Amino acid sequence: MIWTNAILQGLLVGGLYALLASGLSLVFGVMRIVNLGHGDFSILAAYLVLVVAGHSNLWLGTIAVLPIMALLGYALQRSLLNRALSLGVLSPLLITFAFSIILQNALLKIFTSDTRSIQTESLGSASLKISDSISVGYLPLVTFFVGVILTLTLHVFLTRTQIGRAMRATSDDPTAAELIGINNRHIYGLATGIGLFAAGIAGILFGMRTQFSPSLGPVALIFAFEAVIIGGLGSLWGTLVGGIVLGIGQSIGAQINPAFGVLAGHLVFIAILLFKPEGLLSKQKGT
Amino acid sequence: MAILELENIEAHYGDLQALFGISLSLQKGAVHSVIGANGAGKSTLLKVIAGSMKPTGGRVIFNGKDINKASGFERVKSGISLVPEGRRIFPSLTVEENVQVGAYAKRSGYWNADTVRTLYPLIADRWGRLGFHCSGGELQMLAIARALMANPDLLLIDEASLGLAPIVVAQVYESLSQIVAQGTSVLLVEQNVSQALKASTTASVLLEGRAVLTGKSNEFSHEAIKNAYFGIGVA
Repeated sequence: MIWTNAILQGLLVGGLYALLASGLSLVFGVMRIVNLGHGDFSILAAYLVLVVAGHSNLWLGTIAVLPIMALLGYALQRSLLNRALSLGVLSPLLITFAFSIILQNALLKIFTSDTRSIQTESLGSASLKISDSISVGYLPLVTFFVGVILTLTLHVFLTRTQIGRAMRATSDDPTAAELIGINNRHIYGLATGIGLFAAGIAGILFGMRTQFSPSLGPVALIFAFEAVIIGGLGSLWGTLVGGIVLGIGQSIGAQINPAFGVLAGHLVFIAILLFKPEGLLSKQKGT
Repeated sequence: MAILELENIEAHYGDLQALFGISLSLQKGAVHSVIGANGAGKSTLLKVIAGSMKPTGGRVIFNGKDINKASGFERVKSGISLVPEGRRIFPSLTVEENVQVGAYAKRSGYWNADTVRTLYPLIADRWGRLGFHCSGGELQMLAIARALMANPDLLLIDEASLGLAPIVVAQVYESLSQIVAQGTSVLLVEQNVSQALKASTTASVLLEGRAVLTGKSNEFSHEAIKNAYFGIGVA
């Protein structure tokens, strides 16, 4: 029974990793930019909620912060990253690395290195009893479903809407996309906007679940990055599966030995790289 | 009235000059073909008109307006669509999605998903297939269909017949008359001289970046074209 429990808890944590990773996956899929600041943007969103919610209701704060994240993403893409993209592969990578350093230090300066958390009152501690030995917390459950819903929404957006199709077309061939009237710079802006919106959701749920500090961004980035690689580059459903696999791996590892959890996740990641380097649900088989 | 006028267009790839003072005028509803050997500058000329390459000299005038400063995607919105060399179909999108995304510029007109399906029954049969899995002929028809979805006033077609079976070439050229019948002007670039002359009202022959012969397609003598194409007698 403890193993069933470990797997179930891992599955739910996986939802959080998938949330963290989906924005990273989308931005990489559309522009081939690895946003090294992705984890730090998540943490930024958590701090922003603390600031906004200090003056008002928590849910109102969340609703206010997410559009700010999206606008920030659009603005950073249009002002800095688009220009960097035209300079080669390395420039955008360095810019996002700079975002990471700037955010970490700015957060440290403003909020100090004390750990904080977003207080959710009942949601954080309440749980659903499934059997005598298994119960799942409402917050992990909500997080998991938000992850699934976000992936589903992104899927529908990319396949059913004209902007979504334009985004995939731009990802395939930016030059040809321009020839049918698509402004690539705008599309890239939207992709990063959505990416940071998703990072924001992940960061806020992360902050409700556990304590955070300004230095936690890179850890979040590594988990997100592993989820993307395990699932397969460029596949949103793969990212969801990757997050879940990583979560279950960590949870089973922690069941064997409490100190072994994070390491077990990394081992799963390395095993995937060794035996199925294209990822579990890769779309890149044909090319 | 001229829909497109080129005034002394010059273009460079770095230090290498590709176009030397090309001038051209295309009447509304007409089909003009630009023929010439490999490297004559035909594709470069189309890229300059479509806005994916900036000319180093001269002006592009479309519908009476100087559009030199407009970027590629803005030109699609104002009514210029290019069917590019190599077709450039989006491989991870289905045939249907390739067609639908062609309407991104939101220009209204005769062409929509239904009318392009009627124009090309072959791609209607491949509706759910990925662009990646389409054959050469399907790709060419799909590329034209995708461009038509923007309901362009001016359609630029780069090497429509390249690499296609003769029967497919015939189908593609047959569709051209239906496209023109909807009021679209067409600028064709071709290596296939007889095909291009048959399909067009006026033609130019490019040689090493210069227009060496321009006139009505049905008035060219075989000899004149041959000389212009190969540069015989042009010292």
